[in-house]
Amino acid sequence: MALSELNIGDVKIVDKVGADVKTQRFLQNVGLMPGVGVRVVAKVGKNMIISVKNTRLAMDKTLAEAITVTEEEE
Amino acid sequence: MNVEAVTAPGEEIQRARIKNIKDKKFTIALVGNPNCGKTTLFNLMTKSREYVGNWPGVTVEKKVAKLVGNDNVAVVDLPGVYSLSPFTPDERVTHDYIENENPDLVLNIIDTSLLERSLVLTHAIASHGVPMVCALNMADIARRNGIEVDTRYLESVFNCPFVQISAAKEVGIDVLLDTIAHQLVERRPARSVLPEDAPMDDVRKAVAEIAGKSAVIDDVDNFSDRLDRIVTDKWLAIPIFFLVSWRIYFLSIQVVGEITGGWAESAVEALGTLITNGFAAMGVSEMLTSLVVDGILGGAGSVIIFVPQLFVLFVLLSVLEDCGYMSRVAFVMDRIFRVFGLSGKSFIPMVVGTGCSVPGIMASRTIENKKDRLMTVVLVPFMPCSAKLPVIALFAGLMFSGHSWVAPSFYIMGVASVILGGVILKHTGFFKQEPAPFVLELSQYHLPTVKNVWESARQRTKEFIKKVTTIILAASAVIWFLQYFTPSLQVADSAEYSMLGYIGKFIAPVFAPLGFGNWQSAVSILTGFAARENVAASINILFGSESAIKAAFTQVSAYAFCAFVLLSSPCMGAVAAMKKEIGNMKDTLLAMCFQTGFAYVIALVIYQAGRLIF
Amino acid sequence: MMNYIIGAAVMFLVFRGIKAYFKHDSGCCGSCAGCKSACSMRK
Repeated sequence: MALSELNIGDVKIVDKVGADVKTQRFLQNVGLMPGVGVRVVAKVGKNMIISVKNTRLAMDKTLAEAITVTEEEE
Repeated sequence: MNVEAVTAPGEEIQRARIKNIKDKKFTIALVGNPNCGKTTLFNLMTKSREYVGNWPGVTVEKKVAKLVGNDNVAVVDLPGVYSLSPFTPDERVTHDYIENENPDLVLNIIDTSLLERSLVLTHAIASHGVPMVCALNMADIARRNGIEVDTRYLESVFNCPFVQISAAKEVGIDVLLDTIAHQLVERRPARSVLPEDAPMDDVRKAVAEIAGKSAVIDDVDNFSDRLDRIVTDKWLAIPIFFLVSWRIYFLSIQVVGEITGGWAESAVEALGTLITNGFAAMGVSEMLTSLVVDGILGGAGSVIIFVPQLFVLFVLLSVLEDCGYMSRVAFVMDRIFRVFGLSGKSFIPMVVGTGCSVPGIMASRTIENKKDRLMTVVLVPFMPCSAKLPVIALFAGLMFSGHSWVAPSFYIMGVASVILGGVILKHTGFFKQEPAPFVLELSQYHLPTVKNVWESARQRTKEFIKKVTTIILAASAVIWFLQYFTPSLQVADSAEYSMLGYIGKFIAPVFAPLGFGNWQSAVSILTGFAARENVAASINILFGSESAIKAAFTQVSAYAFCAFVLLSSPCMGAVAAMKKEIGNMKDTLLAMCFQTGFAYVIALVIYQAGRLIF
Repeated sequence: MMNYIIGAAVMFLVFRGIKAYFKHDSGCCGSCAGCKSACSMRK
């Protein structure tokens, strides 16, 4: 499912990041990439603030919809 | 896990051991992620006053200075980077420096709370095998959030010392310098678990493992998160922002203005009388006296009285900028701005622009998307900058006394013009494009350091005073000259028949539909090109008295005048900054035409509609 | 005599101002804290 569908407090693992190369690289630099856990801190409409590796990222809905997540593996 | 004790705050910085290195010259390179406190540390180590922050953009600046207490040691501040792969100019510069310039030691500064991503860079540096010292900065904040770092483990992995410090609180610096001194002599090469050319994915995996073993970082809600949920709340966000900005501008302009305005004006007046009498006693000519008192003092003096208000404004803006709230504002504004085709990232340059358009225009460099960036550059000058305040304050005080809504209304006009202007530009075809996706890193909220705020406000105020005593002083003198003499260089009977009067009367008709078709207004607007404060200065000089100004304007025409001054093409300095971002003169002129044309139409509507209503 | 002194002082100040006018293209306004917060948001 898409990151944008999550609610405040949800914790999931990143599956795919569907963004352009520049954005992907930036996200990688701050720690957001496939296999990493994210937590939803706040949500305004479909714009979100998430926490990944202790970094807080604010993103709009176009990016939140482009990132897919899966359940935590046991 | 063992934890190195963070030394107590307030320690004296002893540099005993490092002072003793006298036989050789050394170079220390500072490397770290953006915003890890590198420049703060650089300033501490070199007692320089470089600003916290590097210039985003194409030209990358390297800062070099000598270490305090030992001229033989040079410290180089390299740009903030996340890795050494050659994707951006910053990374290339840093990589090439380490590879080719052979610094004697690399000081890697790490934000302790963001250990994993920081270690990616640490690993890259270590893979070059240079002597390294790692400074775990903001260790106090990490500790407070329950993050305990096993420095011994990290030291064993990378084969270099790890020292916990807090650059902002100046804690642990002596230990750091001692360690550096030791390492400069020992020259122990750092070691990385993977070779330099290992693929990034492998490096990240390895670093994740190392980080996992060195510290347990629980990702839970903290104070910043809770505050963010309130501040970005669907219903509360905008009202909160309105409240915050209202308080800032109201406090600095209205409140301070009322307190200091009165005596500042009397002080300038008293000075004028003093000079007049003094000059008369010394036998100085009437003309020269007029130049100094009516021209220079009348012009520059009418602007310098705003120093108290501007100082307070700068302090408040610094606090706002320093605490981290601004990025939240950008996030909140993005939702709204997107409706008009702009991005929230355009909002921060606007807020910065309320101090001065020049850094506001520079701040647009953070916007990746080129068209978005250019549009922001053209729209930022619509915001009331500190230079436009004297004019607004002049008319607000003179024509609208008792109506405290007038001055703040120009800030709303600024924002509204940005939105309206943005919508118009979007429809011109060139800018027709979806704004880029918005993603922004939010730093933890923190209390602004008194030092930073003071330095920032002090510098900005100093710049303003410098501007008044140079540019505006000179402009006032020139204006005086042009309105004292006729075109044939005889003393004019009245300003109306002076050189300036003729120029003004030639241009004035253009402004007639706007309600201020008199030569004084026309000329005042012209003088605003050198520095917008000149407009207030000129109005004072050319009309000569408050009653003259009041006679020439109605409330509606005064408001229209202020609107034109607010929105028309900015001062020379801002135009120069615009040209730097836009790239060529032709497009810059186009932008100026757009701005001035927009200003003309708005002022026209205000005057013509206002005239009918009021 | 005083005229010349005052006149010279004024000329000096005016030229200082004109010089500053042309140097205004420094690209920095001293308000660096604004740039800092902007920088902290760069991608």
